[in-house]
Amino acid sequence: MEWLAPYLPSLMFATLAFLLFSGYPVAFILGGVGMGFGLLAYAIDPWLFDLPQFGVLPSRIFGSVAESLILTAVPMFIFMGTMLERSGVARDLLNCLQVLLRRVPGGLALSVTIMGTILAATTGIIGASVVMMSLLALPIMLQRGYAPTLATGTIAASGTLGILIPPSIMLVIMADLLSRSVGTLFVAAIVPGFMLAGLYVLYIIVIAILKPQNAPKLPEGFGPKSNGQYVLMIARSFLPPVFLIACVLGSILGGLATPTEAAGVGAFGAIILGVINLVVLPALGVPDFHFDGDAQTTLDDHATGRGFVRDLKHFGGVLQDVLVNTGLTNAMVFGLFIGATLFSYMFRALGGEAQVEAFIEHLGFGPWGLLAMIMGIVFLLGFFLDWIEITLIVLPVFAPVIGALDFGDHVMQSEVIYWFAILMAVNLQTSFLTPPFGFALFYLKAVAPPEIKIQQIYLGIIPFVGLQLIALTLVVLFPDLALWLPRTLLD
Amino acid sequence: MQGFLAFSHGIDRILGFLGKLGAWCGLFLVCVVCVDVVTRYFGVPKPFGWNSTQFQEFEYWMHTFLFSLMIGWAYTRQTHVRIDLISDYFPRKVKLIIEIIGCAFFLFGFAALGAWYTGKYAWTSFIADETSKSVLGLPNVWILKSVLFLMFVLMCFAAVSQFIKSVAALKGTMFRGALVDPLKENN
Repeated sequence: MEWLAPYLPSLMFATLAFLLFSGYPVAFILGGVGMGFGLLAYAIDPWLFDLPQFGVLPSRIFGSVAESLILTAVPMFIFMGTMLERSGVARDLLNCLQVLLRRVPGGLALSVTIMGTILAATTGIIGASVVMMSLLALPIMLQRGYAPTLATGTIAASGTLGILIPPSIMLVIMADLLSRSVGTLFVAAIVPGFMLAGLYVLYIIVIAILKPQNAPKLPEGFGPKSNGQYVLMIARSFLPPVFLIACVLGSILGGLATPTEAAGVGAFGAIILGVINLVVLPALGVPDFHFDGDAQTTLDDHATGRGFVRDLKHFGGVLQDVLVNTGLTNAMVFGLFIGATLFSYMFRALGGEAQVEAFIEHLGFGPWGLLAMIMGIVFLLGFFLDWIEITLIVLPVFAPVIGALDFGDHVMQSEVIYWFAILMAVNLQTSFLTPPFGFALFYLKAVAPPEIKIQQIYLGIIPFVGLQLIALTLVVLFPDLALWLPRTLLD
Repeated sequence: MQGFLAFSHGIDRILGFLGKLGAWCGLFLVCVVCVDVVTRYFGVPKPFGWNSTQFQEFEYWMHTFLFSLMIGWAYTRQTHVRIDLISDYFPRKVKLIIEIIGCAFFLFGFAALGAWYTGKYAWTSFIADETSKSVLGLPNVWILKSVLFLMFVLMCFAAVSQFIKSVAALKGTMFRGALVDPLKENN
């Protein structure tokens, strides 16, 4: 059996890949495979791996997860997003944007894109965010006569934008795994993120002008009747969430707060907005702004205005609901962390890391070839796995290789990692959108009305994938798109 | 079988109770961060005479409580990610058998291993009366380490509960007048 020893690391990955498709939770498969291969290696040769080596596991979990103040930001960002969604703030924002943009060609699609950009924090977990955006926006878009292709494309693309635009949970976790500053990574993501959103906006406007039948304008009389109502609507639905997100981002960018602090304050702000929306405003008798055919309330139907005490009780229920949902999502993320801890430790202990390095040296690709290879692998994995699994499994394997990449004058050595992280984020987002596997599309299909065909979704997303590829190429060719802002702002 | 199912039901209730407790730690975490930030930026003394280091350590304590108490429950609530690209097409029986094997070998094995080593880890910390690495930090680090032990123990229990329910579902056993289906949320 000794001959098996050098093949163990590759066998480990193969087993993982195979078992993942069994449909058992990924977190436990990672842990189970790690443990299984530890026992196997011990059975083959105790010199290869001895059982007491398992004893490293607790200190690894303790050091990398329990003691990490950076990762503490993750549940608070999830909380902030979930709270804004469940308290109806997100829905009101979409309604308000619709009204504000009603004279712009493709205004409704633009509202969806802008909401995706503003609420990027909400949209950390791909499945959840695409589902939320679809439930909120798809029925109205169809009702307004938008072409299903354009409607679904816009929703899928905007719903996945959240993995790039800060405060993105993915960037928090990547920074943690690569031992880099979360703040810097957030700043680096801003220009590419807004550039992508800008490309979507341009595309939508162009399409709406060229093919007005695909993106009909809203009726003229849509929206509040008087200027006073207008101001009230903006003050109620637009300013609070935008102000909150601006505060969270601004305090990180301005160096006033760490991402964890900003997340905590942002989460608290979201609670306050929730209380205002569900308790204070109904108590003051401020009306909801519901226009003919605005965002459906089925997602979060709130029967408010039944008196202060009952509204407060209702809010308590919403809060508990948000806390439990946040906690379950967070448990999913950190379950993966814990499973992956054992898996990647075992991979390293069995010599996998050294093998990867030797293999890469053997390939002799040079920095550009390696970058292309890693990006290719990530892109393919994105067809099957969410970013959490990909970053947790792939990054630890490739991190030493990435750090050592030397692009000469193209990218400064110290900045390579930040550039790489941004490339990976854009790449992953593209992967989630690419037919036929892109899994954002499956989530969209699952909650879309039955008359929407998967072919229409595929057709609709293709232009957006094109835009993604343009953005990816631009960031590859001009690294300063990602690196200029952190250099200017933080130095 | 009914006895086992009642046992499984009991486990789920305990997991649910502790999970909800963990969920509320999230709110507590948010409040602690806010108090820390506000007192720091306005130069107000912190409550109980705590310092900022202790606050920050308390923040990650709260976060560890939050995920440790919930990972096991999240499994019985079916919120852990699964790759269902192919398994969606498996017949229900195959899915249940996968669940049984997964519980017995993957989750239970991994969790028992984790519990054994984190148990020793927490015990060592308790005996040594370990305090934080930082001079200004919190004492009694064993509490934090014990929570990791508790996390693995709860994962073991979640595995046992899900195992029982999967076997029952495979046999088509009823419990309290309803068919058990562990692949559906909330039962």
